[in-house]
Amino acid sequence: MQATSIICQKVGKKYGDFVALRGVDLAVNEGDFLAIFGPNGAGKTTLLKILCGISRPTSGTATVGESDAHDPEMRKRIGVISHKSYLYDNLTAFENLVFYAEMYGIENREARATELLESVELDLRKNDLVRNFSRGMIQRLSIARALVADPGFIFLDEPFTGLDHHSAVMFQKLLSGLHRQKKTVLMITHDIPLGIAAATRAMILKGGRKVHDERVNGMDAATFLNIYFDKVGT
Amino acid sequence: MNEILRTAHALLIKDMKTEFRSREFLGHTFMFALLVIVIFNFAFKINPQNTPELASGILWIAFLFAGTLGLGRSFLIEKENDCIQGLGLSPVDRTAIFIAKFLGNLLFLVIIQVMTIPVFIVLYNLNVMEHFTLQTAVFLLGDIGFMTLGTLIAAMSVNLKAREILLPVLLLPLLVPLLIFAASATSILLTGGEPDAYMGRLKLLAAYDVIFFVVSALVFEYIMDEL
Repeated sequence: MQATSIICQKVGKKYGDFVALRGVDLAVNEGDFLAIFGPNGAGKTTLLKILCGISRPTSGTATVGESDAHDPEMRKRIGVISHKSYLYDNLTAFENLVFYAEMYGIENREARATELLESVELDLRKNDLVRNFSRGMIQRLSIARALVADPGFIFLDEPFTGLDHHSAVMFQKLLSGLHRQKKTVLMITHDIPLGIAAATRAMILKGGRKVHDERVNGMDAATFLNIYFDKVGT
Repeated sequence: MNEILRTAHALLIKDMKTEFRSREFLGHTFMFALLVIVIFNFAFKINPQNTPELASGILWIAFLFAGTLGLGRSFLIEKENDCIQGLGLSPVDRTAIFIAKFLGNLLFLVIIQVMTIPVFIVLYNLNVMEHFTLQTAVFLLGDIGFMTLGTLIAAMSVNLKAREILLPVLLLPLLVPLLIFAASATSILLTGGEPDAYMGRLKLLAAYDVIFFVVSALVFEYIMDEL
């Protein structure tokens, strides 16, 4: 039996009068790949921000790997990939990775950066400034950045945004590789076909509430699309 | 503490590299400080008698305006590609981020001052650095207080739509005591005033720096949570 590694109990979040999350319960097992879908304003990003420790819930509790994500030690075990790269345009690919390795307290920073650049096939462009990279290259480098501390949890926020088809497929392969390494992956996306193809479990949020949650191993995208529109409306 | 300083050092080096490569801001801010000095030269009837009286105010206003421009830049670098979020996700102590940004802003202001003061000396025909050590002490203590509060307010305003306006609107009223202490200490040195009065201003500047540095470093963590 797999251990539960992410637990949310009645998690709520308010921004002033606006209620972003309304008592969301969630339990994710170690090694699961959970895709979270929902319309804009459903609370997906808010939930992710709480789980990765950059926002605090107004009510309820959220734990990742048995501790609060605000705990600095826990943060080392979480890698976040967003549609925003978190990369500095005026640093080279290598410098960006070495910088983040330093932020995560990695010992052999330069060796780790080199290893990661090779893994995302950017080693030949290591000394190029990020501002000269294409969107696909930036997203690959962004994966390398998120993996700098070899985290056990990977959180993704709309990672396919702005990627062309070729880059999206390549990115999907990289994600599958992470899942094979038994990392726990949680992904927010609007792209249902790509999300369902990668995930082992899917959840739908609407108006800050969980309205659907099931295992989707082998489910085709068309079937899930029907469920999605049934739950959130057209 | 070593860990905080190591992280702050890495952040500072990163900021300097990105600033050096963009080569945008230092030159523009120096030009701005220069323009303030030149405009004051035309606006007031400057003569050898009133120059020592007016010089300290003109200098400090030029530094305040130029420094405020630079402060806006310090967190904008982090907004690019949402890097501030990337930093927030990392396990670094938030105090290290504050210290790095503070030191970067302080260094930036000192460079602007080193470039501006010689021009001021030539333009106003007044050696403001005649008492070099004493004047440097005033500038440094004034700069530390200015950049401590400035770094905090710049972080608070970076997500606001009207941040270019709000940063000076929020910051300048808080800097009024510092401006009074610093400008009067500079003025005492230029007009040959009482050493006791100078020391009094210097102590007030030091107290201002300590209070606001401690408060800002403590509050910064909560501001980072909202960025």
